[in-house]
Amino acid sequence: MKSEKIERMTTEITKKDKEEIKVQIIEILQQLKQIQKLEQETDLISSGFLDSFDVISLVDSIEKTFQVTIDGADVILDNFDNIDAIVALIERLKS
Amino acid sequence: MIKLAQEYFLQSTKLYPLKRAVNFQTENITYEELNLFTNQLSNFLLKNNVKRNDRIAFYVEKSINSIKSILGILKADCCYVPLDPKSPPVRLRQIIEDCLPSIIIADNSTIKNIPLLLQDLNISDYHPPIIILNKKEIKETNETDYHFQEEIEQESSLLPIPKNGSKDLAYIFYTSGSTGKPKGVMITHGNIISFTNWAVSRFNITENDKLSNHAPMHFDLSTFDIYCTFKSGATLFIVPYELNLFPEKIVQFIEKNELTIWLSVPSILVYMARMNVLSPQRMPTLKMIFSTGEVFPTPFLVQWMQLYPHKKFINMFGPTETTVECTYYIIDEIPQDLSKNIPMGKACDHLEVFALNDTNQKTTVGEVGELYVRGPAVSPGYWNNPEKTAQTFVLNPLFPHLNDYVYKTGDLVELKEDGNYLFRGRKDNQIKFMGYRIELGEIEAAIYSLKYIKEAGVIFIPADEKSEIVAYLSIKEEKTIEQIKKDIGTIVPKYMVPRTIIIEKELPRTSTGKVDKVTLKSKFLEHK
Repeated sequence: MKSEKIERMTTEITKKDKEEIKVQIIEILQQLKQIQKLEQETDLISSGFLDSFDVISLVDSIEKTFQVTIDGADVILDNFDNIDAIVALIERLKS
Repeated sequence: MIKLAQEYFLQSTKLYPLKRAVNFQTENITYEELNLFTNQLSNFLLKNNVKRNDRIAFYVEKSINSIKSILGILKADCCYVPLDPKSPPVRLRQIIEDCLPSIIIADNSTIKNIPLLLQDLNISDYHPPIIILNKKEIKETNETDYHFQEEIEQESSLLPIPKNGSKDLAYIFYTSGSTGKPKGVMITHGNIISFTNWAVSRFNITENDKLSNHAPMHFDLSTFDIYCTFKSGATLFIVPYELNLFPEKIVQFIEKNELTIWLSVPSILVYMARMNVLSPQRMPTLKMIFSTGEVFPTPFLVQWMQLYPHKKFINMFGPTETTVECTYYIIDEIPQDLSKNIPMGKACDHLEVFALNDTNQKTTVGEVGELYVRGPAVSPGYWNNPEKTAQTFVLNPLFPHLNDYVYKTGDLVELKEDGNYLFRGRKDNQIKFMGYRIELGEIEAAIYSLKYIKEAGVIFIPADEKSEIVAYLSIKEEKTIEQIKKDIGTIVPKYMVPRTIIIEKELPRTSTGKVDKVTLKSKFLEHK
């Protein structure tokens, strides 16, 4: 196949992966907080929506669901304050 | 001879006026600066109709303003009552109604909630002046009884002459009440002094130390932090609340500020260990680590001790009613058996503890009994609650003729052969969660106050890493769990809101008709 086509296909697969990861994370959060629908995707910690207990539980769930290990140094606001950042963290850890 | 708790601070001010007393984020204040401002604050209080032994509440974000409030209030011969900005207004109103503070100190972030705190109070004609420890901003209301920093700074900076003595109250801290209403534990100057003298000398805390203040100001771990710092002339570093979520940030905080002493509840230490932010070369200045308020799970303690063989680890235990701690245990060796809890230890030197069995006899080795505490750090009782006070501060069963009162803790303990006590549970429904003391009854009372609740059973599932409070409910009308949690959160603080709520058609009952919590517990664990 032509290299452009391969690139396009790879990007599409990555996008699909991203979407899947996002959906799973939203489900984890909904289960964690016992809510039917996650209303916010940003400011998860800075708004007080997630507290330290939630963060520990979230880290646990992510490690189990995605088979990754999260280092303490990664538990920072930048990586956990919004859904997209969490997705990016997981992608990085999986690669 | 020291009589009043603030005298520790005054003595250190004389010795080290230019030394940094307190740090919070980028703000620092020296002993002398803190001294002058708090003299001004106390003079302002005295000018505003404050009488000796009045209660004065402070409702501020944890910061240097908290320390300013405490010292200013003590210097005016009054007693401080911290109001937690994270507590729902309903709960704070109960506290205000109970202790009737003659003034409320606020700050820029809490000022907007003041009207909420004062509305619908069960007190007639109650209009306490409000002091805001920030400069007046143009958008501020023109309330005539709001006083800003500029006004305080006009006052004389001479220390008012105190009339109080060791039996007068220094603070009232409100703790969870089993019937839904918080109880105010009274602590005197004498109580604080006997505790602080012991702690500083036992652990050799000096002016070269740098202490953390991790606990909130309405939690008496802060009593250790504040008064040990002031007695020694050391520096206090207030840990910003947000750091609790980020274990890496806590380690950086300790390193950046070169802390030598850390005291906190174990959950934060567990979090740091679990998240792999500890390594042997980190936090080199930290000498002593105190864990208190809850059992420190042995596997995580061992992790810490193996990484830091040269640091001193101390486990302490004590209810608010005995002024911070009543027993302590220096962990000399790394525990071999991970399944055994570390002991509570032996009585702090200024106190006496003993355990009595059901026939009021002192327990023998291996026997489990209820812990009693005796000595100068025992509180005189609960504010405005002679009934509850009489139930728990009782005539010493061992020497009733001495007319001496001891505190009946409700804690079940076992005496070991080496003289150390082991914690064996509670006589009642009080639990420790994230370091907080919680009466499950208070949570149930809050739930039952919601009109749509039919039955409720609140249980506690303890675990080394992730304990949780769980509520089983049956309801009269459709409600989402999210909504129920929100509703509960308007009555009790966030940490008391059950993590997991399970709705059933009806709850299991015991033969006496009570909600069967044993069944609920096994049901929950099975389900997990």
